[in-house]
Amino acid sequence: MKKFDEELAVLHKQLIAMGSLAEEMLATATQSLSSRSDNAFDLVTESEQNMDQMQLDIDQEVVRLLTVYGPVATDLRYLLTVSKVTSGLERIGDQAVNICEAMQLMVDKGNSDTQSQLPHMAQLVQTMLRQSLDAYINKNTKASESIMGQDDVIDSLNDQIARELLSDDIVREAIKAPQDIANIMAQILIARSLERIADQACNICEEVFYLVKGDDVRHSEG
Amino acid sequence: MAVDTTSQEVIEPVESAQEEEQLVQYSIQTRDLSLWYGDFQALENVTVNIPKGVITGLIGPSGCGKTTLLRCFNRINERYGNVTTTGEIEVLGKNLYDSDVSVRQLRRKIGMVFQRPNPLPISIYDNVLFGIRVHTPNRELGRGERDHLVESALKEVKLWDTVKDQLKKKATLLTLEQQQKLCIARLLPLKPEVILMDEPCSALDAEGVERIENLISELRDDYTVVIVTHNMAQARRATDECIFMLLGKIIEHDKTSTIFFNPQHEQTEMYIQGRYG
Repeated sequence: MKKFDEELAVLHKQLIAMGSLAEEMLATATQSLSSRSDNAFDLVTESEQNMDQMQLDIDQEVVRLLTVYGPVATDLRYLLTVSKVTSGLERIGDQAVNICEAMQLMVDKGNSDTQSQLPHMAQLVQTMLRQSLDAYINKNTKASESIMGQDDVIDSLNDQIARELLSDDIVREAIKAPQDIANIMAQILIARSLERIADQACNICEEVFYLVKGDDVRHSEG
Repeated sequence: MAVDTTSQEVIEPVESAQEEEQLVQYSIQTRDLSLWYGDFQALENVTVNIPKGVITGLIGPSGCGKTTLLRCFNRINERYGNVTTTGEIEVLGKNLYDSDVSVRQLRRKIGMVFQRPNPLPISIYDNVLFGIRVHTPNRELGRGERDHLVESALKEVKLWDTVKDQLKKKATLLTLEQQQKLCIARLLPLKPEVILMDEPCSALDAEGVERIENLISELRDDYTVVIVTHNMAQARRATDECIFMLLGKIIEHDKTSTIFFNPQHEQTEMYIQGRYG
């Protein structure tokens, strides 16, 4: 079993590296909300390719370990959750690219001002992602429960931002200045991407319950 | 505890509704069962409920008491001498150590298959009928009925097509897999309700294992099967429930899928993961 344990440890390191890359991509994408960065888009796009490759490599390794060792109990649950977590991280990478594309649209239209709550929302989502990865690595169900509770805050912020950006006054003004419509749409898309990243962080937390207790808490109330 | 090996009375059906319900639910129940071989305690306060009509696997490292527990269920341990047993064992709703229990009748209801097939050095035909002849006066079994019993038993174990034209052949000339199937077939004319199997595939090649496992699977529903196995892959494939034993104690008893996916005890997890044992 020593060899299996060693190979699990290598896989675990690969997963942690993928999680770190997802955090970096989100940080790079959201930093551009407050401080304009010309190369954020390039950095995130390049990372996204690495992210895709990491997902393929890790999933291939998961299948190999399942095939070769026929693991059971915690080992089996761990490998099943790794595959789901990599899927979530890959989608977080995609959303980071979407945020950069929306920012690019705002810059191209010459108006990159953002709604005041958007950087705050981005900060909260970054924290959620970091905490969810920590909870998974530390197999901490209590932390997972707490993080999942924060998703309501993110959903409210998303609604609030969309409501403010689409208020009658702002839309009337935007119709007169088409570049502002692009700005409004881009911000709504960014908020939507952040909200989806928070959902993925919650999905990672759900996997902690499956890993530790064998409980499938997906689609469960509260 | 009184051990009566002389009584010939048939196990009477239990009467109360509560006991009847219990009988329906469980084929085998033990309460605080302990067993010693001389000074060595092989089972310690074993309390277990084995449901009717399912395949239950006994798993655990060598020397943990799996085979000893299995042998308690038909009181075959008593044949080894120097054995002391305390506690209760109920099979088919009847305490095995009640004074009115006939061991001979008991073993008619509880068949056993051993590690190595043990056909008698007589014909295939006579092997199948051996058990029923012990329990039934010869004149009560007509030729037609005997032929029917042999054919249906051999068909049930998927051996009929292979041996139907050589029923007078000596059973010891069959392959090991065929011998093991014959040993299972030999139980069936007695209409047992419980079949105990002690590593029934350990002497077989891979294909033989697969076919015997398929056969065991088909016995589900009609019989309660308790199978001792060292083979974790077999326990996963062939059983509905598993009992994990360690040092003569029951550590965990649950559905096989739960034991292998989410065991509740660290010792179970360590064993099924192959980290010890």
